[in-house]
Amino acid sequence: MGSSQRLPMSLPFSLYTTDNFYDEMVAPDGSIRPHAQRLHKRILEVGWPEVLRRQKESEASLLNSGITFTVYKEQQGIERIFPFDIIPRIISSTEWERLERGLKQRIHALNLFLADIYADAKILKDKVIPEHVILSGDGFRKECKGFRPPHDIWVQISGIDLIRGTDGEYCILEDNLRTPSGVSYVLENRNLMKRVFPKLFQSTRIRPVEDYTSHLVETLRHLAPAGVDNPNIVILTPGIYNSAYFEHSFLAREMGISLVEGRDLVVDDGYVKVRTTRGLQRVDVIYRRVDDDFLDPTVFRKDSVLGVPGLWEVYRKGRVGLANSIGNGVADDKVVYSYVPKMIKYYLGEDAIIPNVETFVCHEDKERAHVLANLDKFVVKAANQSGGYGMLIGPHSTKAEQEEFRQKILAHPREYIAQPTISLSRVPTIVGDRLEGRHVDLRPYILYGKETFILPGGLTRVALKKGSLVVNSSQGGGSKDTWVLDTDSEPLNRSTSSQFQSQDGISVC
Amino acid sequence: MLSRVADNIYWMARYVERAENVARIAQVNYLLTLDSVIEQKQQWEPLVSIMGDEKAFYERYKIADESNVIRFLITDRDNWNSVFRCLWAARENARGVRDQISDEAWLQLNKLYLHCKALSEVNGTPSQEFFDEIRNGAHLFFGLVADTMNHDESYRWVNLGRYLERADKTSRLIDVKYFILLPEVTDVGTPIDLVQWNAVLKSVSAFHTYLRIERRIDPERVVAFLLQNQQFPRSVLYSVRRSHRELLTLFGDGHELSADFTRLEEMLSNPDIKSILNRGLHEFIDEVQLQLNDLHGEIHQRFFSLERAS
Repeated sequence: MGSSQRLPMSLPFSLYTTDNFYDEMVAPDGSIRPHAQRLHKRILEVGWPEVLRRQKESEASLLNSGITFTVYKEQQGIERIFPFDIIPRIISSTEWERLERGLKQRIHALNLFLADIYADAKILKDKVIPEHVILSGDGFRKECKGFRPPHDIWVQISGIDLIRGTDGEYCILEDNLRTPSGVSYVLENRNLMKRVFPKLFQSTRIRPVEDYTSHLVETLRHLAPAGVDNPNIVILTPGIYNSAYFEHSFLAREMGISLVEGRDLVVDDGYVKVRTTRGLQRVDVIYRRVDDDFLDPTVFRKDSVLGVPGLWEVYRKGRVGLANSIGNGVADDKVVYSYVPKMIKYYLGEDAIIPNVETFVCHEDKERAHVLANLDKFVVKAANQSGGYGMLIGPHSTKAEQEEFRQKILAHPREYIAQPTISLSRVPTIVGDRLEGRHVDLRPYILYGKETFILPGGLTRVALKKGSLVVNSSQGGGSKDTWVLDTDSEPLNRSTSSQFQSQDGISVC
Repeated sequence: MLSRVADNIYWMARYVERAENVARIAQVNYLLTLDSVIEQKQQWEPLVSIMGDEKAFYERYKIADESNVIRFLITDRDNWNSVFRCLWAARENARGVRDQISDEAWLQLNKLYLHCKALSEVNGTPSQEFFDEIRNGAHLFFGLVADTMNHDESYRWVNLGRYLERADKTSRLIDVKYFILLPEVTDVGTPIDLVQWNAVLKSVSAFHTYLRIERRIDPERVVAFLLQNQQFPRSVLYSVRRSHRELLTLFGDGHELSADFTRLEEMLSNPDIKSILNRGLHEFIDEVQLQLNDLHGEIHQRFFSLERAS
């Protein structure tokens, strides 16, 4: 891996094309965007073969570390690594600053919406959102009517998906207000990247992500019942066969709290307690990664073995804190999503800083007719499904698939929305031994407690299949590290680059 | 500590220990057969017998020759006691308590599992290096557990499980001679008999230690050594005592279960080896194994069982 093996300066970018998509790193004229110039230079310095070697090394490292997720196919769980691409996605500090404001605004409005919906439902009385849309949503929990969670906060932990179209504008794609996953990959990806490109981290000011878990602990402590100074906090996982189990155990370790399953918990004497080798111990706050439906078989799904019988009653009495609250599904329903800009206006009197993707709701006759006439152009989504399941991607679909969705929409119009197919932005990605553009989205993570904390960057998911727009890990997606620059430095000039080179070895491992 | 976590940690340790023991037994036997006059079936069937897995074996294999037995013991995915299955189970248990285990220990267990998995996928016959890797890999794992994890409750459960498992495996090894029929009754005490006792000693890394103490191979002394030596870390008595000690560290001297451990220790300490042999070594070992099973049952009932009220 000496300098003699280096490829000409122009490789691997000489063959790279942006194909009329918005590229996060390369401008349409082929020049490197200013905020990515240091990265570009470093790739050339390290040499392409060495970059490829580091990519391989990082994959081996993920497998050995057991950083895996489980895919379900034909009822069998297959453990896979979440593919990782070492070419990062970079966001400039000015871009990020606007996104941060937009996300804060949105999560604030969504919390106010949930508090309102389960209280007086003023927003329905004022006819900003049709009442039937809310009451017919799967995520609406009539049990929550009149309930007030600690500090009136419903969504403590969320992940809001952003995409960027051909024009480079960011839009909100969906809100995840129940049990969003992926944050562990952000933290692990960063650890890995520091080993892959150590020198680059020294010379570029990238905003850190390590402090996420300490903010998360604070957010959870904030939920402790009154009078509990040193709360016993646990993470509730569905168990090792859950696709996000790695993350649950990762977070428990990083926060130094217990990871529990439903069978470890019991309601005893009016409190939630955990079974230990020395008897029962009280639990004060639960970060639950189990869906509402499965949390308490005495109130929700009777057949659930993942939950804790009696939990809802303890929660309702304020004797245990829960993150997120029960009933949030009503606010991240894909139909309700289309009303979020109106919510922002209604509760905050502001215009949405980050717009929604244009969305057609099929329960409105006019919009439905338009959707049905253009099934080959739209992306149709089931209102209450996630993970890339239950979707029709019009331009990539067959006539038969379109017909199937037509029937589904006609049978259950409330259950479907449609959005124009958006050409997601792309980032250079290692494919074989070449660099090619692949589509990405972005999921920033938001903690909403005493104060609002937004993890700089978030999870960049990348669709590894050529031309694919589906970034979900269950459907062949991978991830990249996401760098938010602390300050947008000047583009490289000669003097900084020579200094850069002198402090930089050829092979750093 | 959570009951489920204690349960998982205890079983994680037992399974790694089991994998290590199975690998070492198979390896020693393999080396032994290289210069042996005994026919194949006699050499290899006892290994299946001492695991108590004959039924499972003959459901899927016709003859107990070298390649079948080694496959059964090492890479067979349908044999719950194969090295591969043990490492799989250890890892599944570890995954359930991933937050309680140091990164170093987890990484080692995961690597060990992936290594064995790769072999099981190609259906190959393991090389000598492979046996070494499994054995050393298991030791590295326990070493990392000991040196990268806090010596708190979880560490006690690791040892409690590990040494109970070891007591069971060593007792089964002593029993191997019951299953190996010598060609003729008069062969007792002949070179073949001695070679076999050598092999038993080697399979628990006791050969040189034994010779330093006893000077010569004498079946009675070998049995005494493996059953009751107080310093040898793989003897049955040593292992039971070590497990007992971990229990006392966890729950204090007065714990009810302590009496059960003591009873087994007294039985193992019987100085009259001759009478044990006369009454039947196999029967004695059976009784030891029953008591080990009862101990496990009690531990499960008292500390892990999730049905209990408090």
